[in-house]
Amino acid sequence: MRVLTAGLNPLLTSVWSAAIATRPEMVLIGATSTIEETLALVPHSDVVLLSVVGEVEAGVEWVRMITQAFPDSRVLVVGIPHQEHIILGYIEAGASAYVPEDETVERVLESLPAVMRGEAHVAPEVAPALIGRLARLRQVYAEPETIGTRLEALTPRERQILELIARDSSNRDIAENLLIEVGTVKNHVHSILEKLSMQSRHQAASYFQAALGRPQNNDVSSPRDRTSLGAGPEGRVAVRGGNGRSERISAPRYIRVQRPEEG
Amino acid sequence: MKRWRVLIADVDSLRCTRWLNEFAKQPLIQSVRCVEGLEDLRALEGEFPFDVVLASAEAYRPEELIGMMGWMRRTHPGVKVVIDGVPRENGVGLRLLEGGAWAYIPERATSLEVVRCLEAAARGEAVLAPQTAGALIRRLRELSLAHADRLPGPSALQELTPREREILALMARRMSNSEIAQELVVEVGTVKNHVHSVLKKLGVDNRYEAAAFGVQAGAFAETVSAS
Repeated sequence: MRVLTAGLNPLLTSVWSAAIATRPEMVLIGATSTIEETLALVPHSDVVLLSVVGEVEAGVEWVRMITQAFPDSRVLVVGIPHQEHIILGYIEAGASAYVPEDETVERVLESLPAVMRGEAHVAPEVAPALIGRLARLRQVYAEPETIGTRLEALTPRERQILELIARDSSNRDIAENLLIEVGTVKNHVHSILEKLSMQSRHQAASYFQAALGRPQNNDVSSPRDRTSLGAGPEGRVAVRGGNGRSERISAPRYIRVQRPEEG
Repeated sequence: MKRWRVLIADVDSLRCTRWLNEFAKQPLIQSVRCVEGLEDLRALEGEFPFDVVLASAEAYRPEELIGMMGWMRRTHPGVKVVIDGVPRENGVGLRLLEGGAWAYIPERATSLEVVRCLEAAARGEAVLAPQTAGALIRRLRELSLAHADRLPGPSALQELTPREREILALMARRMSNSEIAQELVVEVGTVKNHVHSVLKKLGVDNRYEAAAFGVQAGAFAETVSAS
C-alpha cells in the first residue's frame, strides 16, 4: 500500500512518515507540507494521510482540492476534534475516513488498510449527525412535498377548525358551532397558519380543499398488501401490551381528511 | 437517564412476544406496546406516547418503512425510528437511513444487539458498522456534491443562539408560537422573530422541517437526556 503523508505541520508529517516506515506492508511515497507538492504526488499513492491540527478551513480546503483534482483518491484525515460539524465538513469536502485527535498511532495505522477496503470508523456519538445529514440531503433531493402532508402537523381540533374555515365560516361562526370562545378560535387559527406556513385563512382553506381531492399522503396510507408479505388472511391481530397488559388500538387504520357533509 | 416508551411494529407475533419479554427485563425501558400494521401508527395521531419505534424490515417493505418514517418526521419529529432485521447486502440499510431511520440493526442480530442499539439511541447515539460507515461517507459526499448550493451547511446548528436552540426544541414538541411564548414567558411576537431566524439559519421553509433537521443533527441530545 502506497501512502503519502501530507499536512501543514512538517513535524507532524515526518512523525507519521516514521510510523509508516515501521510497517512492512506500507510504502511511503513522500511527505509533503504544501498543497502543490501534495497534488503532484497524490496520483502515485493509494491513500493520503492528511494530518491536521486545528486549522479547519485550510484542512478542509486541502481535502477539497485533492479530491476535486483526483476524484478516486482516498484521504484519511487525522487529528480532527470530536465535533460533528467539523467532521461533516471534512467528509463533504471528500475525506474517505477520519481519526479523531485523541486516538492512538495504532488506530491510524489500522485505518489505512480499512480505508482501502472502503470502511470507516464513526463514533456512536457522531453517527446521528452524519445519518441526519444524509437523510436531510436525501429529502431535499428526492422528496417533493406531497400535497396535504402539512395537514398532518395539525391537532384534531385544529383540523376541525380548518375544515370550518374551508366552508367559509367566520371565527364567530366557528366559536358558535364548537361552543368555544372567539378568542380560543383565534388562537387555533393562528396556530393553524403557523403550522401550515401560510399567511391567510383563504390560503389555508384552498390548501385544505386541494388536499381533499386525494388521500392525504401517497406513502403508507393505503392498506398494506398482505399477501405479498406472506401474512395470513386473518388480517390484523390484537395489539399486545407489555407487562401482562393487553390492549387493542381501536382507532381507524389511517387518518383521512374528513369531507364536509353534503348539502 | 429517561426511561423509554417503545412501540414495536411487526406482523410476526412470535417475534413481538420475544421482544416484549426481552424488553421487560431492561431497566431503560418503561413500557412496550406492539402494533401489527404500520398504518396503526397513524391511528395514534394526536397523542403518540412513545419515544422510539422499533419496526421490522422482515415484516414491511423498505418503501413502506420509508413512508412511515416520512410521516413520523412530519408529525412527531422527536420520535426515533430503529429498524431491525435489515438484510446485510444490497444497500437497504443505507436507504432506510436516508429515509429517516435513527439506526438499523442487521438481520439475525441477537437480543443483546437490539437492546444495545436502543440504549445507544436513548443516549442520542447510533452504532455504525465499519462497512456501513464507509458507505455512508461515500453517499454523503455524493449527495452534498450534487446539492451543495441548495443546503444549509453542516455548521448551521452552530449558528443558532442558545435561545433559538431552545425554541427549536419546543417546535419539535409540536408547540405553536403562543404555546412556546407561554412556556418561556415571552411575547408571541418575540417567539415569531426567533422562529423566523431559526428557519432562515437552517435554510428550511417550515417548522416541522426545522424540527426534523434539529433532531437529525443532534440538537436535542441534551434536552432528551435531561428530561
